[in-house]
Amino acid sequence: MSNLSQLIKNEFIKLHHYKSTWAMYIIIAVLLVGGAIITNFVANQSMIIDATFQSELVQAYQSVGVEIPAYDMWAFVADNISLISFITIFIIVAAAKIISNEYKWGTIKLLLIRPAGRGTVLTSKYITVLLFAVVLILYTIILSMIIGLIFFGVDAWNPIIVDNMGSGYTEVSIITSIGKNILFSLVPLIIVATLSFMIAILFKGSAMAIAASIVIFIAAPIITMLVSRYEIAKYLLTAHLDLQSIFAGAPLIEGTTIGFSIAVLIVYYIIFMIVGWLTFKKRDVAGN
Amino acid sequence: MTEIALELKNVSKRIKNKEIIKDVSFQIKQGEVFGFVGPNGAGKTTTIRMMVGLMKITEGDIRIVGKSIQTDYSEAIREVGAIVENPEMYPFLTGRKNLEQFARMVPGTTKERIEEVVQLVGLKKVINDRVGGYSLGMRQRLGIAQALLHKPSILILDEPTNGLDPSGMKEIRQYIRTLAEKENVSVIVSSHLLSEIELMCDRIGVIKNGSLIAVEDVEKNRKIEDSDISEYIISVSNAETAKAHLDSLDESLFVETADETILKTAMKREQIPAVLKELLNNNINVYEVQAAKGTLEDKFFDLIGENVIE
Repeated sequence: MSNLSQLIKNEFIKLHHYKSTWAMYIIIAVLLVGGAIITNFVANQSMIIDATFQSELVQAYQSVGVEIPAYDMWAFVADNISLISFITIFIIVAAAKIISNEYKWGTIKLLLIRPAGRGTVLTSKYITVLLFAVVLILYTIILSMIIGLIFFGVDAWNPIIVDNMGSGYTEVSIITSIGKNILFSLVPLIIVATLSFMIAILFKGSAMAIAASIVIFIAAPIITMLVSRYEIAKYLLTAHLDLQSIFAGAPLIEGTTIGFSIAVLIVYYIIFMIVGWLTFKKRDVAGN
Repeated sequence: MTEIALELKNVSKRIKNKEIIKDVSFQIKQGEVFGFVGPNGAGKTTTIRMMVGLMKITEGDIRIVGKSIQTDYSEAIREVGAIVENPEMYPFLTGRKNLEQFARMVPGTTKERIEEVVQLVGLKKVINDRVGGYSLGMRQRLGIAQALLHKPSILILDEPTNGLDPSGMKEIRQYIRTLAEKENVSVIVSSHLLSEIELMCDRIGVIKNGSLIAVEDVEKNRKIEDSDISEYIISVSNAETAKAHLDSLDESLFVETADETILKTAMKREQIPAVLKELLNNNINVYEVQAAKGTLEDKFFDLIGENVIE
């Protein structure tokens, strides 16, 4: 096991020597600051929600009887959880590159002629990708808390808001609501990162892996719509990536339950893992 | 411990029904430098890839210090340090950071060992520079440093002098000899240049079209070259009987039968008439006496044909 942690350390060192990795941190920071400036000067500061566009939510607040909170640090953090979509794309790239770069440089040979064995090497790379996602998400949350505090201040340390927790709108603490949103964003992140990882193993290159994974991630609703008249559509990966909508009762395919979606996602996940691992373990490493 | 550092037993490799390596067997003793020569595409690199587990073995087995690379992978590979093809490293890391990466992959490799190895390959001055800016010679050295980090019993170097200037080649050669003699490390060196490899190896295996076609003892060949003894090939009517007569005539002739009508002997020029007299007196017809080409290089050309060497 200590060997695995050493390998993960290696991967983290390599990852943080790429310029593109640092670009990811900088892009997130720029987006957060930019978002804060725009919100500060342009948007209506008095309310967490825009009455014209989200009248349903305004009604929900009124019927539950909670005062609509002012826009503060928490609202800013909640808004920026959507940046996880951005992070997902970064992670797709990282997952593909962590495999393809070794083939590109030829270092895969030096990596595989060590006592660790191929399975451990691959596991260390996969864990590194997931850890990197966690790091980026924590970075986003902490940075948006700091920026939010500077720009908007804070009213209460754990304000109560109204959110749909699966069975209609109820009162919840904002931290619970943010946690729920992060969990729902993590599901597609993990699935498409694993997909990208697998394709990169199959093709020993990153182009195909990145392209295919990003298309599936971004165009999931369109792809699902295009095939929705066929029965098979409900088994498509793309129909289940947006667990949040399914949880809120608005799935892409009529009648999809959260349990069914989770089952489908698990099956896809297992397939990606098995194909990736078996290919990597069995394949001859030859030529470039 | 066992005397045999590495053993190939009837190793074959098939890719899509095409036999790339055909039934190759040989053994390498501890502290021996073994040269692996053949034209490009003969199967040197494929064989080396199988030795280090990068390629699966279709048939046969490879044992490293007695441990099978197929069933005891971790144990076996621990004893191996290798450069397969080019000495590729992470270009964006410094030499030291690269070595630290590889040190972490084999438990028990210390910081002191890194310094020791850096000193050994003479990279002290540039070890804190990024590998991307290294010359090919510097990368070869770093490659060797990487292979030696975990104190392996066997060092496998695929074309280690490729792209080096003459002084660099000489240095690597001396370095390989030192390793074998002082640290009892077995070294396998592959090359398509016989002249290169002849200077540092104890034995040379010649591979052609996936088959090991000869294993030559460099030391023995050197002795023949240094004295006035030459190898002669004699074409006779019956090699077996001829060998019996010649053995009784003089034991120092090293008579060998190549096939039913061909004899090989090692002798001085002055001995030829006596040998012929002996054969003819015993009613053995002699059709031809020919001096075999002396140097290993000539033999090599005989074996694989000059024109296919690049």
